[in-house]
Amino acid sequence: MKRIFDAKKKYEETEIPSELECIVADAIAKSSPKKKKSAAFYTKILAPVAVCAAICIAVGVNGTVHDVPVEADTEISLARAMPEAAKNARMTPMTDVCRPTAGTERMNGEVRGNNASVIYTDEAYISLSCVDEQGIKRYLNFAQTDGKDVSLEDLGIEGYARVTPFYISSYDTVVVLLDGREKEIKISRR
Amino acid sequence: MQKEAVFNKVAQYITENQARFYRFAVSHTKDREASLDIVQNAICRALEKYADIRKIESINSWFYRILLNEIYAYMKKKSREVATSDEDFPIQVYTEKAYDKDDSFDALINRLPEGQKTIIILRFFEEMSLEEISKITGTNLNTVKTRLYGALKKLKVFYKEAE
Repeated sequence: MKRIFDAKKKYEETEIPSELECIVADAIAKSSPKKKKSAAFYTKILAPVAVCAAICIAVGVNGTVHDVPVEADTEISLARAMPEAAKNARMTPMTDVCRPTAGTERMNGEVRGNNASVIYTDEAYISLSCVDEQGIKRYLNFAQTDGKDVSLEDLGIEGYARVTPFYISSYDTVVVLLDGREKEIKISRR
Repeated sequence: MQKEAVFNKVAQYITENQARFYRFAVSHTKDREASLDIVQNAICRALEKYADIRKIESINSWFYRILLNEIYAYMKKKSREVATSDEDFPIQVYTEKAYDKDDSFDALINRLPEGQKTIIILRFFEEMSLEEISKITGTNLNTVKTRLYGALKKLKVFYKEAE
């Protein structure tokens, strides 16, 4: 029992990283029920309505089915059919692209230069985990970008940011946390 | 209770106990970065599903169950990972086991199977009741008891071996 007690003491003395508090606060802030409500509205209500509308248009007045392709994937067809509506509705469009701007290089999961930018993000939040030059893991938070470019410089990253391998799923794809969920974002040259 | 009030309770519980969650995760993974990710994922998942709590009193076992699932998911993923760089293959130096024993209690616990290790940590380090452990691990109370006593027996044997 004494050994268990000693081990418990050691367990309780485990060093708590300073980032923990920030991570927890971020996670709570981005999970507030209000944000979810709007997202749920657009995915659960607007999407089926859009599909029904597309079918109605396809069927037409005389009841015959016209040759209009209706894709199985509601989200894709919705984004294709009404990109502006999707944008206004602040849904995540299918074209989320994170690309380094001119003069930057991309090398095996490294985004060089300090002006790599996120072209479009969801209204709420993107959190990108990367390691800076000192080897310190940093969480980059892109909040309320509303489609504007956000540079790494704006986020306080100088030089280059190396995205940790855990978040790189392939040569040109970065996985970011979007609303607490992992999401792939393609990187390509502009 | 109103939805927003439940959310606030859950958020408050998470904020107050974040260090415990990290310790619990790191005791399984032994990896600082991975533990931070696990805690973050567990919090996000919990805040997505907070409406599922039937009784706010059982928030502790509810959250630990989510955390444990995240830990197991990470361990499973890690066990499937294939090392690709030279750094992943450190030069192994041959040592005689008899002269290189790590007999700390922590090392002994790590020799236990994952399920038994979790029960020991929850019971003795997190000071949870057997009922709570049964809820967290999703196993029968009697199974928890059997595993706990099995783990203690094994620890005794490991300890004797180390002496």
